[in-house]
Amino acid sequence: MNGKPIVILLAEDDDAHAEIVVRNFEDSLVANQMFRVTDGEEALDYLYQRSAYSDPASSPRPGIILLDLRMPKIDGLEVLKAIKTDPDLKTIPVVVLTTSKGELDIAEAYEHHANSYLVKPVDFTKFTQLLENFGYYWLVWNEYPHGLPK
Amino acid sequence: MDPDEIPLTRAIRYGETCSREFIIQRAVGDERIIQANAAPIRDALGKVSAAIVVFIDITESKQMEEDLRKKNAEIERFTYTVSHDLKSPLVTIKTFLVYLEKDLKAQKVERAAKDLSFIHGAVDKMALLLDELLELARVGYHTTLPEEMRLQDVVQDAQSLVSGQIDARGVEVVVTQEPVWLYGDRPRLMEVFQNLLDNAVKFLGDQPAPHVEIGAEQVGDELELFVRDNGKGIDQRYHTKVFGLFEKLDASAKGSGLGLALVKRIVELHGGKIWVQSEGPGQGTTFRFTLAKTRLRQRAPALT
Repeated sequence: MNGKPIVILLAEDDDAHAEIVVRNFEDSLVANQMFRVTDGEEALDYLYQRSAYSDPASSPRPGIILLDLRMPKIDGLEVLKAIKTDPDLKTIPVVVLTTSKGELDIAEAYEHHANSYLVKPVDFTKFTQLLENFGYYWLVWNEYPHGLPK
Repeated sequence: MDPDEIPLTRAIRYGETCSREFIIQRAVGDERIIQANAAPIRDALGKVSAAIVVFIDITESKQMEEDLRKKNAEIERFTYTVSHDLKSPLVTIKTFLVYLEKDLKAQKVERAAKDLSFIHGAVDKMALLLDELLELARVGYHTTLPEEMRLQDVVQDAQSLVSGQIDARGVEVVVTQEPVWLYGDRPRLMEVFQNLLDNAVKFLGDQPAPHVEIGAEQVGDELELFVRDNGKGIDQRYHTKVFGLFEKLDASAKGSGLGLALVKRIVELHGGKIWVQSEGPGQGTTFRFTLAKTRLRQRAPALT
């Protein structure tokens, strides 16, 4: 563990769902810094530090990515594929967070090396629990390659 | 080919009733799928003395089978997408109802108002989705008898339905003067133009002199209809994706992402196809489509 807050990149097109995640992490005791993008293209722009995200100070490299699957422009699976085939980005853990429980989506996500696959529950307690567990697992217990990202 | 693979041989050699499918190349150049059915004919002693073989051209029924398979796959995909898209607002409603309860108890009025607005948003999204789904389902049934109509008349009807947006944005809409005649379900064809116009106006970007042109162009032996704007344009990568169900290139844009899927469905039901042309962002967009029985005609149709 490290004193620095972990940078989370949240790729989510739905404002309400993003708000749920953000509120949970605000209440969380684990130090974190969250950045949100609203579609697949923005997600890739952020990761490749292009256009609006070219300044590493305001768009730091994420330690972990929370990725929705169905997004405008570039689909979540495409984003995942791009990350996992990039020698520099592939070490960043990608956790899929989606409403889809579709077998094909799950299979394809793992096919493209998703590190975990979580389904948004239609139940407040479960959703909160899921986000809390996510926080503990990935932000407290999990060790990251070469310490924390630059 | 192994003789044992030929039904006639099998009928004679082994006394079997046998059926096989073959693809043959005809002299005229096309391929046909032929089914050969052979059966042995036995003499009084039960010995195979001859065989009969019947050839049936099953190309059409194979094609229908394939179409049916595609339709089924489409329905499966559709059901999957719909259930997913309905679940998403449900997650929002359920979660923010609990937030609302908590925030009201804690007297956090501002946050409660925000919770409510998320719930409203999700409910509206569901309502819109259901409306458009019903619309999409209705397209499959022909409710009006097909008729011939002038392109200009249909476009005018469509234009009057989106005149609010057109005027608000100061868009100049130009329709060809050529005598283009369409044939089909008039209210549905009107919807095609309504959606394409609405789409064009929605994605004009910061174009200072917005312009939409509707016309027809003879390409080869087909008359292609087009709706061309000088707006934002569409990146090459999304040219197929725009017609998908619930696909939105811009998350902030209004609508559920069914408009162009509906347009595609109507065009296909009218025996046509639709595609998009755009040199990319900032270069404007042209939707081109064909419809069976569309033609240029100099005089009014003769009564039959």
